[in-house]
Amino acid sequence: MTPPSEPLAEGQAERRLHPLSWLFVLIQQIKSFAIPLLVLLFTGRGNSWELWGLVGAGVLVLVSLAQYFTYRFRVERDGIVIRSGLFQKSLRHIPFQRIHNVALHQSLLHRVFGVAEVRLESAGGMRPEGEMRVLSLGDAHALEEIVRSHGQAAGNDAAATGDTTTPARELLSLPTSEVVRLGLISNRGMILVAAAFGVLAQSGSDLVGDSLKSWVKLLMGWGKDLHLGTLGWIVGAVSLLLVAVVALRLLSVLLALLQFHGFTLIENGRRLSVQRGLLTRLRANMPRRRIQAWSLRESLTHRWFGRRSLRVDSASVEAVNDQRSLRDLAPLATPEAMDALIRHLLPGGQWPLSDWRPLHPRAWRRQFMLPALFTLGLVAVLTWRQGPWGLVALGLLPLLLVRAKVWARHAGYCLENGVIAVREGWLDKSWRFAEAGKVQALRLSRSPFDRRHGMATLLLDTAGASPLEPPLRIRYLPEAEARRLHDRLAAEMDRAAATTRARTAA
Amino acid sequence: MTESESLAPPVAPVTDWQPLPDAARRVSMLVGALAWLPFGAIPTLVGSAFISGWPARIALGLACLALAALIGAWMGRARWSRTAWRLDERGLQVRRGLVWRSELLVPRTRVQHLDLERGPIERRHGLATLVVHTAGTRLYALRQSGLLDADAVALRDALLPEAELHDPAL
Repeated sequence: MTPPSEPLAEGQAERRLHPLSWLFVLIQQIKSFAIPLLVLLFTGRGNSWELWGLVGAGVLVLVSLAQYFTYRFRVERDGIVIRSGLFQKSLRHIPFQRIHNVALHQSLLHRVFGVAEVRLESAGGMRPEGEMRVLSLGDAHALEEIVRSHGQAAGNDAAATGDTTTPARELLSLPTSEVVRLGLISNRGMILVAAAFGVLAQSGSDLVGDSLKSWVKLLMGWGKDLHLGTLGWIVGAVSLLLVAVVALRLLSVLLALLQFHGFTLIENGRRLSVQRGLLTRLRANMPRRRIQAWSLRESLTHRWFGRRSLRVDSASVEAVNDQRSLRDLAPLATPEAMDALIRHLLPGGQWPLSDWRPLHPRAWRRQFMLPALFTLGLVAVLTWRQGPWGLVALGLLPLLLVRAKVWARHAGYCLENGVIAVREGWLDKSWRFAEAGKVQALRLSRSPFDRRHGMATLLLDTAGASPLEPPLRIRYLPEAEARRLHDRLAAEMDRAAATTRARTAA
Repeated sequence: MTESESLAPPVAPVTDWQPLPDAARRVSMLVGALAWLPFGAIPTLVGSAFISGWPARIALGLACLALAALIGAWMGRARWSRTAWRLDERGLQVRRGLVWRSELLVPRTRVQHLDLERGPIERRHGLATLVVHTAGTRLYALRQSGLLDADAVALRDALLPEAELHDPAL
């Protein structure tokens, strides 16, 4: 066995993980048992539970040690071989070709000991191919380097092998001021607070309700003591709201700093790598061609700051919900910088696209109808319960009309240079696009409403799409145009497959 | 594109829409009727509260169940008549849906793997279900039941992914 002091290299004998890895395995296990342990702590009465807790902890330590002593790996010429398991032994051979992403993860504790958690990810799997908890930082970087060099030497793209000699190039880096802006734009704080409320409400305790009630009582009592008039109450409510908004944005900034401090996007040959994080350092790698679909977003707050955000889908499914993946390719950049970045990364190299086509002329009606009917229903209910004041809600209708019109004017699609793109949105604009070669299946569907207006919807399915984000789909197309586009896309998909095939054969 | 011609499947490409066989109509009606039966139970239970006497209740129950089964069978038949498939040089295309109509295309080059499934009812009628898996997310599998067993096998053979066709991007 190679002592861990020697640097990791190809063709060495088997080696173990970092000697401290049992500690991190133990921490991981304690984390996954945290909820039962907490339940035990809070509900456990009597004398025996402490004993059981001790027994449990002892078992966990033993399991972690066993994992450390049974986990061995070695780097071979064509892949990585991992041997693990005490009773159920497993031998796993991961070819370099299959490894899409080498993700390095360093929490504060990892950094104290100079180690990193390494995950080898492949396409499609729900779990990483290999997980090394933990390697020394030097070994982790060496492993990353080995995978990177093999990924390029394997050379699926004969045309691109010329790139291998190009040095690493920084494509985007976010200074602290940009990260603060990112925090102000994104509403991460809101999501966190909502999640916290959700967890507390789920836990079945009356903590939230009780504390809210007591707070409201306190504030009301305080307000009553001040003998405020209506105006005073309004001012109070508005200032309270303002304080809440400011607090949420501050929390968002804090979260953005934690997650995105020191963000850099580096291009190294054909691989992209991202590094970020204040306390927990993350580092993820991915070949450029594994990007399946792109989504560019410009919300109202983005526009106030003159920025846009870019996210990409990669092919591994488990990466969808994992914050250590390479989803946020460019969290924030000016529109010009973003266009240049996309132009650089998108095969074909044309962005922004110019040949935008509008949707069906009556598309705005489809966007208007449903919210309008809902508003009318609301007006009916309000008028019934509150009297004529309910009619005030009718004022929403013009707003909805303007929204639908603006939406339809901005919406469109474009198929140019083998890239299919869709844009939608009103205040919150989004562009979603993918290479036709990355589209997996096409569906042309017609709902009863579509049929009434002679419209059709085209859904383009790509790999690794997040279920939380809008799909790559073109709604409200005139039917004949949708069919033509369907056939054109099918041809483009075939052609893209043929060219990659020719390249592989070459 | 001489290349795609050389990749032509062993069976001749069928370029027009193929309906499902008659056996599939019977299965579709049967399955539809069975699926709708529970809906017949609801009016039976509600109605029984207002009617006294067991013979009347049983008669009502039978009538409701029969009506539900009829509706289900009619829906099954309609669904059967709206379903068709087509295999051409691009790939497999399936058209279906009564109210929400859709046409799904899975190109040959995007097929990851294929499954053939034969349930007990389908086996009795000589039918099979073909499942075409892709690497996509929302349309990760195209599942078409009610194909003639021979057709399903031929489709599977025609769509089998060849090693050199595999998308290297995945």
